Amino acid sequence: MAEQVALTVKDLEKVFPLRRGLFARPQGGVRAVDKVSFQLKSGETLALVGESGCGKTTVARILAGLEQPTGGTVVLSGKELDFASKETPHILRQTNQMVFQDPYATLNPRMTVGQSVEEPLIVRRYAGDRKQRVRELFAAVSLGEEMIDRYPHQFSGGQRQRIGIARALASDPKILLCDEPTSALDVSVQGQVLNLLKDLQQERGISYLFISHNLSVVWHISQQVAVMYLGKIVEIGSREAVFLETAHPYTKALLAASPKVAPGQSRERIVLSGEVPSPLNPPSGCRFHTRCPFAKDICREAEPSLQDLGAGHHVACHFAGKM
Amino acid sequence: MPSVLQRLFQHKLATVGAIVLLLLVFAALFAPWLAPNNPEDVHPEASLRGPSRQFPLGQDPSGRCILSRMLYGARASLSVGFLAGVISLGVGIIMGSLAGYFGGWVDLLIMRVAEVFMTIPQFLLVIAAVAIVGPSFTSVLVIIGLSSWTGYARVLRGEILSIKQKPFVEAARAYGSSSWRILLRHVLPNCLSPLIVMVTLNVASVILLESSLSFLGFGIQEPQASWGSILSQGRAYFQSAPHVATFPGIAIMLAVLAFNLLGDGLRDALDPKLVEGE
Repeated sequence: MAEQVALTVKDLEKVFPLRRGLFARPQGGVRAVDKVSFQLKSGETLALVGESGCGKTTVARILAGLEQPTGGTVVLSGKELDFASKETPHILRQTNQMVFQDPYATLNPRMTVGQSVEEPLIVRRYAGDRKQRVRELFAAVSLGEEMIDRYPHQFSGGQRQRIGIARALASDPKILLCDEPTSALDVSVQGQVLNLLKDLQQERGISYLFISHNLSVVWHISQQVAVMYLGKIVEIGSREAVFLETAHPYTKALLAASPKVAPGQSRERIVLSGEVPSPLNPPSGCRFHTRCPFAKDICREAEPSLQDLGAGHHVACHFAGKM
Repeated sequence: MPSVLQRLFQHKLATVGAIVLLLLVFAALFAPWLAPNNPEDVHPEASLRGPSRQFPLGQDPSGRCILSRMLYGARASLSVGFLAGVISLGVGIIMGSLAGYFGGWVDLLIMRVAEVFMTIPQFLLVIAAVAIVGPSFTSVLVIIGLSSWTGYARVLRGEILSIKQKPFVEAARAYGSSSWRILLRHVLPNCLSPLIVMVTLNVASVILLESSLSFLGFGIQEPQASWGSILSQGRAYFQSAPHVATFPGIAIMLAVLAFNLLGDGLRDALDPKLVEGE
């Protein structure tokens, strides 16, 4: 059961075309997601980590059917879907649901929260008793029945986030795409929401694609971790491999920049200088060479491919395992 | 948290506006019972006579009762105001929704048409159209209604552009709602409060526009009364019989002022920053 694959993404690519002026042809574009591949196992959590603007959210939005990618394929419950097809977003919406970052904008302010949770049931022509189902969903996210008829402004951020989760669950998803669901919440409330997500995963066997830049949250919730930099995955592997046997200098820098989260984590200090380069015009060779303290000539010229370090731990660095 | 109405009535001037409007609406609705005389009875021998016991606001050049004509005129002015306001709101909502929600070439087309409308002064446009179609109650209100949708469309389009990016709209897309359902259930209900404010202000300007049209003879036609036409008749005798032009002028001013005060109050009461800043 645990080894079943819920979702395989291969060479996912999203280029946002850039137009200058009304009638101008697109001039190049921003490669927000560049050849991203990963596998999400059933009932497990894959965390996507990286700085703002590295393409994490775009990956989630593509998988939620909200964005049309420019290339790549996805295998969903054994079926390979081509993104060239217009049907693909519809199929993705059948099994994937998204939990959004901003708890204050995630609910329609003119509807009661009960109506918000009921909407997916109406849209999907749920056959049973909708009101009953809404009560069950509220119970599943530990909110009382008496809250069903209230409006979003009467709730706290954490409660709204739980209602957002209930709404996502209403569609009975197999995969939940969580786009920084806790980053706007107080620390104590973050814990509650994370534990709720963990419990739901255990009860329902839902797989999570969990986007975050909070590494302790990632350690807490995920089995697999993928680190993205400028639209590419630079390191991917099990939580332990990425946190404890870190191979990419960017991952090391991220770990060094946050408080120690994993027991046995190395204390090597790598401090990054400079800004993330513009994705409009990404650096040649290894995209990280402009900020990498170990960059050599080869890094400026050749783009490193993901190499296998064993046990599913992959790293895109010319000097992986040699530092 | 106080409701919108409660906050509206905390606003003193808006309350005054609402009361004045209610009185005007009351006067218009019950004109047949309130009017002391038949508004169309002429008394040529009493032309331009000042206020008297039987004619409280005096008589016009044909000796008709000005108060009675004003009460009936309120019906014309207010109903043109409301109906033309509703027509322009309806057209504006349809156009603004199509432009803002569906975007692309539909947006381009609608907004360019709107801009063409806006480059022509509305008053000239309305006079020209009325001159072609012929002046009557219906033609005036339809033409005014169809010529003032552009403001609504622009405001609504902007609102929709910002609302449709919100996560709750994206969530609705993600669980498979149709475009129409998203527009009607999630987007439009969150875009309407600025339009409500616009309607009240727009009704005021429509009343003014209708009065101006009637003043120039392009509006409501004799013998039906309208504030604008009474004012127009009084204009020639302003020095000898000022009451003829003064009273309808005051009525127009009161109505426009009341709508503006109400609109201002509504704007404050519906301000989302105040609503959400619990």
